[in-house]
Amino acid sequence: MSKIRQNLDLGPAEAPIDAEPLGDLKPYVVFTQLKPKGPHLYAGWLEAADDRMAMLLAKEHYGQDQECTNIWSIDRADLASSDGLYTIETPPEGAATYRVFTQKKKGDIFLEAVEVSAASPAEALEKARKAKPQAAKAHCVWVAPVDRIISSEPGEVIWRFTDQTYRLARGYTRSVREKWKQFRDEESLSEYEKEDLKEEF
Amino acid sequence: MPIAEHLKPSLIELLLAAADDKLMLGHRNSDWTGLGPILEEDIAFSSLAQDEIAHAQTLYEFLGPIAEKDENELAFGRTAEEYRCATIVEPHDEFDWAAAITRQFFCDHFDRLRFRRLAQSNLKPLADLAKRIGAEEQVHVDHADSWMRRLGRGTTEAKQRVQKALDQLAPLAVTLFEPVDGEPALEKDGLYPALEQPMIELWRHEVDGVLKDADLSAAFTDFDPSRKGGRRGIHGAAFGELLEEMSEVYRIEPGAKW
Repeated sequence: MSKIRQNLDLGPAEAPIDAEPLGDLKPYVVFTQLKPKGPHLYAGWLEAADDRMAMLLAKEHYGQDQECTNIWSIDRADLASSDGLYTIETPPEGAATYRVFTQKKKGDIFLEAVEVSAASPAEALEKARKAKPQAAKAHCVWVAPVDRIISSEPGEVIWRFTDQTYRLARGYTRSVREKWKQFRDEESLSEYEKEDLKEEF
Repeated sequence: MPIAEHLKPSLIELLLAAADDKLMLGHRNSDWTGLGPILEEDIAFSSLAQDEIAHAQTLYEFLGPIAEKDENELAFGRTAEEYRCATIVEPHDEFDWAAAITRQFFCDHFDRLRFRRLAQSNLKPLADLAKRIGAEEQVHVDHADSWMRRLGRGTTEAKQRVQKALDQLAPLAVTLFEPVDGEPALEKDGLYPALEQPMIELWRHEVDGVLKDADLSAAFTDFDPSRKGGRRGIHGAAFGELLEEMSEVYRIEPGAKW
């Protein structure tokens, strides 16, 4: 922690905040696409004030977890799930196209599946089950109206060009393992260890 | 294309200015890790700070063979007078979120223009690098613009606070535009080509556009070419402490390999 931060005078603990509340942050679910033309995979949730903020934050958070080419974020109020956990607050009027996401087994991540057109979210969930064999057997299905899915722009920069592998488990393991190996391979070190052991035992 | 010997010192100055701005800004902004206004913005702002440092690192690496120094030495092993960062990136924001965002907003718009210029350089490896950094700079600009609009159009208190930050930081914004020694020659020889209009005018136009949209205003000062500042190694009061803290580990054993 920075010294400046350690010495920071945060002022009285009960400092009044003179701001009128503008409403709560809303939950959004984020999907990331790891390869061009690949499916969008469930990445996680975040809270944001609106759609724009949700996308900006999703890019910095889930977009930096691993290489990714596109991001979708969906307001929870636009999501309907087959287990009844989420329902669409204001369903589209009349027929609409819905994107289907399927979760194979409990605990698995949700994957982008087909699109279906339906007159209501309930019909979309029903059609989703029939549309694909894996959806029929899926533990859970989500649907969201396609025109309410917020997507990053094609060609937009999400994953940075500078070496970001240290953010990834594989990158970290690789570089740490290499450093250890290098360290152990140094002859002077093993000689030193032998001498050290002689003295101790 | 080899770089003409007589242009090398100025090119080093120019790229150090870009890298030093980013390193200091990244260092200052990373102080917000764990203290962001909301959890997700904490992650996002930290990620952007990391980006600034990564860009600085890439520029130092590029400079390495030209300046004949390694990137760590360039980043941490210089005396205060050898740094070329603008005064605006130096002071601590005192954990005032409005100040942090305002500074980021000024610097991101400047950097987007700076890397647009470098992307047209006749030194191809530099132009290629600048194109990639420039594309990422767009992400930063979007983020900062969004916050300026949000704060400007937010509650009375948010608006007051961000306006106060603008009043404080606007006079320092001009320090970004101080040219490095030898900049006219770099411009003339196509290493750092000019844009369609003077950079400061383009910057003012962009920044004022967002501020107007956010219902905010800033009183910018005109650039005074006789004033020497950060680009010539003359830094503000806060810089010594900043540098000392930032290079503390490096100075224990310069050249240590990890």
